[in-house]
Amino acid sequence: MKQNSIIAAITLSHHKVPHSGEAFIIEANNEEEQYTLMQDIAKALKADVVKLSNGIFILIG
Amino acid sequence: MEGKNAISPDDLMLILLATAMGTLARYLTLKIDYRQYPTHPNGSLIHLVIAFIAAAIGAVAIPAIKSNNYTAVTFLAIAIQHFRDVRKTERESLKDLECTEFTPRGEAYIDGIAKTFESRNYFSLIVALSTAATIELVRYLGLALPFQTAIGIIVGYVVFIGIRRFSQGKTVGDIASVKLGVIEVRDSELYVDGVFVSNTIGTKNAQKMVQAEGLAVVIEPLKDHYRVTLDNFGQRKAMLFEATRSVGVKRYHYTRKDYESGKTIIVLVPLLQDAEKLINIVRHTPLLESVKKSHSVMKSNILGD
Repeated sequence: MKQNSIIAAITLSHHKVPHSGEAFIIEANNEEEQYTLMQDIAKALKADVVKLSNGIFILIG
Repeated sequence: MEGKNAISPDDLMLILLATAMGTLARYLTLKIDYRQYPTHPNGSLIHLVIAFIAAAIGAVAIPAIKSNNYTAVTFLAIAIQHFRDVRKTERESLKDLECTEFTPRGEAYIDGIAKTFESRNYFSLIVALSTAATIELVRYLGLALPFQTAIGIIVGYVVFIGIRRFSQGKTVGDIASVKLGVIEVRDSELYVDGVFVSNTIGTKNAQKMVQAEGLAVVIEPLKDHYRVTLDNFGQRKAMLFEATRSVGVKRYHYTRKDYESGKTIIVLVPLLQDAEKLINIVRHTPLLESVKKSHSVMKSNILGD
């Protein structure tokens, strides 16, 4: 059943995320790597993905 | 068997016929319930056997009263307690299955189903009781056995039709129009008929899949006050449950309310690409008894339309 909690956020170096709560944050080197990492984690956790307007990917499960 | 306390052939016939009528009443309603019924062969058997006992209790009540055995009426009170247990068992059973379904039924839907199962047992009891009472009355009037049987069956059947119509609920199709919606994916946002539904399709695979294989149903209330029913969370869960169970879910399922137009939207990527079936099943989703608020919808019609 869906819990709708943020599992992870995939960011780039210019993103500033001071607190992540229970979610973990991965910083990618570039946009291509960011997208690949997002897909890897989303597939493994069967998570839904939200792309924020500032480019951060958030995984919701 | 000869003896003072042996049951008379007339009473035996009365009990057997009334029990058969009561059990038959349950059998006929089991077919209507089939869509709501998770376990077909064994579940049906369980309910038929319980109905047989309910019918037997109703059937023996009249001969018992006739023989001045008034305490036999307390059987009816025990039966009612037993039927409440049926509701409780059914509720627990359906709750246990929640995490195994594509989407959960929800508490409100489970409550409705459990209540229906309980009330179906009263069908058997009331039909058997009315059949037995009629046979006894016709016998008292001095009519022959074939007349007693025929009139008993007719009255039992009429009572059955009456209480079935009384307890029959309405469906979503009675208060809303259900039609297919047009899916549109704008970057990671999903829209149906121009209404925002979700932004959780951030991957390109998800966007492609939803655009190519997604099916959307738009439920629009026929009158404004029906929104109270359709917007109810339990009712939406029930519609989504029926939708996902009929066509399956490959991935993604959403429901969304549009506050401006009053539309309710269901989107999913189904296993079976059968839009007609999807519309049909949403249209036939029962309006939950705990959700209904409109008096016109609440109105049950014993005499039919």
